[in-house]
Amino acid sequence: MAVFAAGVILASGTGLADSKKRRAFNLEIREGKVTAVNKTIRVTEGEDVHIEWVTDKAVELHMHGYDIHANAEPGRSVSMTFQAHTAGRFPISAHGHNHGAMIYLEVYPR
Amino acid sequence: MDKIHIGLTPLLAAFAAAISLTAAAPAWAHAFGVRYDLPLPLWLYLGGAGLAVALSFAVMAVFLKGQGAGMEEFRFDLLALPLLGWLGGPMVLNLVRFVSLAIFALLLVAGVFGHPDPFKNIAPTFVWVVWWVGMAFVSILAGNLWDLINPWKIAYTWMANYRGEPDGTRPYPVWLGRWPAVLFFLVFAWMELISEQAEQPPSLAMLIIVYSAITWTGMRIYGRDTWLRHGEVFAVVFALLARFAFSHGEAGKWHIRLPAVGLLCRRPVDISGVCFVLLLLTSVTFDGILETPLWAAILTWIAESQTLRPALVAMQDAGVDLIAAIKTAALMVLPALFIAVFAVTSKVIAWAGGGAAGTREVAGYFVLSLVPIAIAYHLSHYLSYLLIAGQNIIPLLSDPFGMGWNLFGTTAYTVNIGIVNAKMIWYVAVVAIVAGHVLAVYIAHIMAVRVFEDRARALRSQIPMLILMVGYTMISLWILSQPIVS
Repeated sequence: MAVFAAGVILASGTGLADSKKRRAFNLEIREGKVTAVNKTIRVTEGEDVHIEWVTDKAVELHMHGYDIHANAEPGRSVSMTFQAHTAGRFPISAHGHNHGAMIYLEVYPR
Repeated sequence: MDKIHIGLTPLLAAFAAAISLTAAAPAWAHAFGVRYDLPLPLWLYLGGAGLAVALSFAVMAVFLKGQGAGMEEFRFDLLALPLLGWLGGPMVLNLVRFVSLAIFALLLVAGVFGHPDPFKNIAPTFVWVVWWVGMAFVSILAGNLWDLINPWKIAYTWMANYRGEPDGTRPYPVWLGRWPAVLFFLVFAWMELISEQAEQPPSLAMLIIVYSAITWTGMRIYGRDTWLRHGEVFAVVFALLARFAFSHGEAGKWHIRLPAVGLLCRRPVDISGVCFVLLLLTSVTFDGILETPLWAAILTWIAESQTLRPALVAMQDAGVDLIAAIKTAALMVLPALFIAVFAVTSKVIAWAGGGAAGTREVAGYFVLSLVPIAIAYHLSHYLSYLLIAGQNIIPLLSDPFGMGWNLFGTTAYTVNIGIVNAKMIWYVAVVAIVAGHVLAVYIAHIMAVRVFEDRARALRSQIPMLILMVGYTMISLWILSQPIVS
């Protein structure tokens, strides 16, 4: 009984009882393009998302829809951290380029 | 003074000049028409497709039993109700017309004098989201509102009444038909889907001015209503969409009726009208195709093709925007393809129908039955865009010219992208597509029974139509199931 109670306390403390997931992605930009083969990141509605960017040239990133901006520079990584509260397919593009998203974030409904 | 010899040719030349002039304006980095729809999941795509096919056979079965026709005659006048009658009165109608004209003037002023950034100026959002998409939705669901609020019609009528001028100095040449509208729609579709200049406020203002000149001149020469039926492209488009609607207003009445029955006709649509309908349908589908990975792959293939390389390099050296050129070629080819497919289908229907109507007549009788499929796709494709991008009008109302005003205190409003659930859009899309398909099959069957007296022949004649409609619906569903690629 005491072992069971201790187990529950330990579990809630370490976050194992937490049903929401945290999704982390590391993306690299080279020559104005994302190196990842799959140009779509998929998460589920409600998850916490953390995207870490590294780049070879300075670039202003913009995630449409969620309207998140990040200035990536060579030599230091920059991150976008947010909760995926709305389902949809959101392009992430480089500011200053007329067309083309570099990568897409797809948030799937629950 | 009465016989000013203005032909259409100089007008069209002016139009072309205006387009080339607008190419000089700078392009802004943001994408105006971004959509956040998720691709339709496979199970919904297949389920929708299966349901559409199954229900098509159900409609056929109903008609086989000798039933099905008759319900389309139902009509109810809303304004006959005691409390609603005043809505059709001149005071209300003229107030609405005045507001419409005032908005038109506001957009023109905003385009000419307002901030050149399309996101800081009310004109692009109002014209491309609230008006072009919104008005299409209103026409589809509620009917021919454009007949009432068409600013060109209002301005011309009030000016003509004031000056007491005769309406139309020349009869409209029959051979010209709806070809002016076809041409203008092709140009408009090009501007909407391919050009990036039409989002820029100054270019937009210029286009409005040129189109106004063309419209008023056409009305002056051929008569207001004649021009509205043949040459004022938006009157023709919205009137076509309004045929689908649940309601229709005219002469102090506002009728409620079943959806799509306005697409039934007693006489065949003429060739120019058939081409107009098919051009509209193609542009709706083309809009979707441009956002698919398949299209992106086609562009890449063309760019990397060794056979085409010399021609492409030559074009690029001459200053041609290659992507725009390829898209323009597609915009020419796709409608031609659809017209060819429809012509063949019409020929087979005419043959199966046993000679009561020739190919040209069949095309004219049945072309309207395809409209519900395009409407269903249009609604699915644009619903979330209308609700999300449309919210931008809220801050813009407070600062229409981008001068830092805050008239209604809404400039700090941020768009709520969660306003409509992605799952809800999926379900609305599939329900709309299936319903549109069923209505299309239903309309075609009623027409077949009217055109071909022999019922058995009439139903046999619908098999090629059914194949065409199923194919068209599948394409719509497929586009919706594709991830959007900008």
